[in-house]
Amino acid sequence: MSRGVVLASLVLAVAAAIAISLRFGAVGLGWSGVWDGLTGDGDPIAVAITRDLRLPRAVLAALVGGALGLAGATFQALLRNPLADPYVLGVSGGAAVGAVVAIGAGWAGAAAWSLPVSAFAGAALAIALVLRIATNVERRLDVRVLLLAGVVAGTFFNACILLALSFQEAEAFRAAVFWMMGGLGGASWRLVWMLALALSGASIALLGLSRSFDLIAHGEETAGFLGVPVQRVRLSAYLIASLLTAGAVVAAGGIGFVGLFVPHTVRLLWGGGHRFLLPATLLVGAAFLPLADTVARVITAPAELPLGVITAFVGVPFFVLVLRRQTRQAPA
Amino acid sequence: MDLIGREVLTTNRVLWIVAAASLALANCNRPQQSAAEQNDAATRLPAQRVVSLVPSMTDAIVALNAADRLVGRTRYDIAPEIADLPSVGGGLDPSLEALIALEPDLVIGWESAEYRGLRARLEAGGIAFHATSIEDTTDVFRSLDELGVLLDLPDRAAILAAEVRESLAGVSETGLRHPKPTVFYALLGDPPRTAGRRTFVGQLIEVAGGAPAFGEFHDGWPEVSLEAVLAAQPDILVVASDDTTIGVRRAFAEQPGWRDLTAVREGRIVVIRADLLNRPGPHLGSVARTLHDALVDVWGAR
Amino acid sequence: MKSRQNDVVWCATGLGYRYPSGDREAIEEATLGVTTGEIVALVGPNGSGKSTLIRLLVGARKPNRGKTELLGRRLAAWSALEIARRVGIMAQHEEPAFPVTVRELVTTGRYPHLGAWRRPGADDHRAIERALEQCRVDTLADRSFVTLSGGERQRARLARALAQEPLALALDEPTAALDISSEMSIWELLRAEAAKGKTVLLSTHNLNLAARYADRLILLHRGRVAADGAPETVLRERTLSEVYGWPVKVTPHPGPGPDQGAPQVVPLHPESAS
Repeated sequence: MSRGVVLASLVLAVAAAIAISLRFGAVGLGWSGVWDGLTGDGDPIAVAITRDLRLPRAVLAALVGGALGLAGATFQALLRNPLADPYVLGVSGGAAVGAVVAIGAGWAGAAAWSLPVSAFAGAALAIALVLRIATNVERRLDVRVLLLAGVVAGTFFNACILLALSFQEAEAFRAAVFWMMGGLGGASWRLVWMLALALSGASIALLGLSRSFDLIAHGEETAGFLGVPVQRVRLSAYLIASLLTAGAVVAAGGIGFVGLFVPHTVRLLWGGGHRFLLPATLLVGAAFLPLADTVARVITAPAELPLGVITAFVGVPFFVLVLRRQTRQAPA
Repeated sequence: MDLIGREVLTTNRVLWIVAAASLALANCNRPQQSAAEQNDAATRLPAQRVVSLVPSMTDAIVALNAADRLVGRTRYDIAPEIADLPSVGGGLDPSLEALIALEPDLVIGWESAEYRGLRARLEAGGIAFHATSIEDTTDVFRSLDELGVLLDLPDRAAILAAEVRESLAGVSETGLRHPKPTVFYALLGDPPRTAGRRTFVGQLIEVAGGAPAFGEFHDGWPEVSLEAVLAAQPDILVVASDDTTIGVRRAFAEQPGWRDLTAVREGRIVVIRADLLNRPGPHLGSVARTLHDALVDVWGAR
Repeated sequence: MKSRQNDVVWCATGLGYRYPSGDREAIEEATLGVTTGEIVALVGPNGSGKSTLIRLLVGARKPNRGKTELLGRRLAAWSALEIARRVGIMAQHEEPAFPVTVRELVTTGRYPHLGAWRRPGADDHRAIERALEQCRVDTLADRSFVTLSGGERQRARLARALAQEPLALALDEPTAALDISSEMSIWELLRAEAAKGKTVLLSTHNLNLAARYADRLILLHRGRVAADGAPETVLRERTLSEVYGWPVKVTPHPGPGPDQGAPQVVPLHPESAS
């Protein structure tokens, strides 16, 4: 199958995932009910459910999935580590702390844009911190320390969130669950537009960097020898990945493992350079998360499971699989 | 290399077996523990130095004119009679040290797994612990009886219970416009929760003249997806909040999904102070009255 | 001298460099030149500064002292892309983080010509195919790089450097840890490229093959140039014994073949030194 055909099929898969996400929910509407709801011909309840609840939620899920997948693929290429992911690296946690700070300090109430900006600052600070911890005196990245640093930072950020929330008693527990486990219940068109804007800008920029990613993934020194401005590429890509992570966190809280296994699935299935890998990752993530969210909404309906539970149930076995493959490949 | 590999494998297998065995052990241990947990505080009655970790029970003690027996309070208890008492922290996570320092002879708490360590330590220190669970109005009356025994004030407890029954009955007699509105008690969250029919909130709604939406749920506080709420289109929303009615109505009108509810669009949201609605104690009757009047406000009288 | 023209490719004078975390100068007062069509081998013990010198000459590290010119222009004035279009550089180590096929690897050699967006055209494909053939990895083109043997890997990496269509090659120990035939095939390949006018600067520990294939040797010792010249002038028993700290004997290559008579270095038993 040529790369173009794969990408075209993935676009269809995203559309199908969104359709399935629209179709299923606590209230059974049926395909025709959903259609009438979307077109506005149905009864007002169906219209409200499809247009105001399911559609923004499904679209937001697709955007969040795409953003997390793309951020994960970027971190993996830059850090040359297949286990990197915004959640594992603590970047999601940093973004969540930024968001919680913006809410706690009252900035978010004063200006709507301060929440995503603060989350972005948190994400960027988190990756800077993790890189600082994992960089040795030779200014080279120690990949073994990297994941440890990420886990330590993530734990620390969770503690920060719990600390911040313990000062605000009411609803604190639910808020903590949202920032740490993630969920799409707050979906709105405003969030959809915000994330769509960030994601499209980031996608174009990352596509421009994709060849450099190939070379950096092969070897950082060699990439430099082939004329890649490695430092500049890394800096801009870290910022873009932080932006994507922050967008995803503001929209859906801390959802783990999507950024880990989506790029790997693409690699395992089709392989290939980042010129293909990045758009394919975006699309697979955009197809996966609406489906995961549908499962979360339907499996215990009318109750809902936290979305992070579903992604962790898919992601953790995948993480272990990748880890085992990697340790087996490593020389004895 | 191969030997080491085999050793790792064996170690691994042993670990699995140990884990499985521990689980099995933990499992057969359980019934014994719950048997040990069975009530109750059969020591030195009547209690003279009491700390209640359950705000509604605290209210009841105050209502029994026994506030002088209380030696501490939780940070949620702000009734003027006891506001000066030292706080032991939250109801579910009190400070053990603060509790012991007050030298109580009785601690009243929830029937909760979170207490396991706390309760054992109190009892080891000779402090009686009474566990209570208040889900519905029956539990409220039962807990009043229990308090009567614990404090040796059975007569006062009986009178108080009669008063509460009477005030509840008084509410039932008055009336709301027919047909009965369906009332959705909304605990905000993702997804939202509501009150089951056999919780005190569900029963309060019925006493106040409404029919709980999602009456098919009996016990506890079930999650209900917002979609299901939309499909049910309840006539009235009840929200426990310390915000103003106007503020709550505005917040709902801005939320996607909620704003599509006819009840929200037509302003049929009733806001009850959280510390009133969430306390199944001696004020049950007045809360029912408040709720009833608020329902009449938005739905009309019979 | 094989060089047809005496165009200077590299010219460095008084180079000095110390790593940020280093406790001594990695390169000190190094002055050297490389002209078109030459094969120049950097030799010297471990830690004598061979890799560092290559990094300085290709602009990967900025020297603390001295100046370098590439093709008559100050090295600092070149951008990394401009250098990459003229010099094919091979680092000592490279471990792809993700699976990559040989063809994908060699294709990245076109990066300096393509940049971020341009699609590879006919010229690019031709360069890639030619490089694959020259290094005899065309039959391995679809194999994953990590499944290759050491010799195959080095040939694939060299193919990438050739796909850059550079004027010069700068190779850091391209034949390290290779068996005889793998190593010889790399040297033969370099000789063929040099015959076509390509300039080759490489570092190696194999003094004997360097003596046969290189036009000139530069012997480094603790960051300084200890000797620079034709193999027979550099490979002197006394110099080598001093630099390497081990007694050696230098004898002519017994032949047969074109390299007959080239100086060959034989390390001796430590007690047999006279």
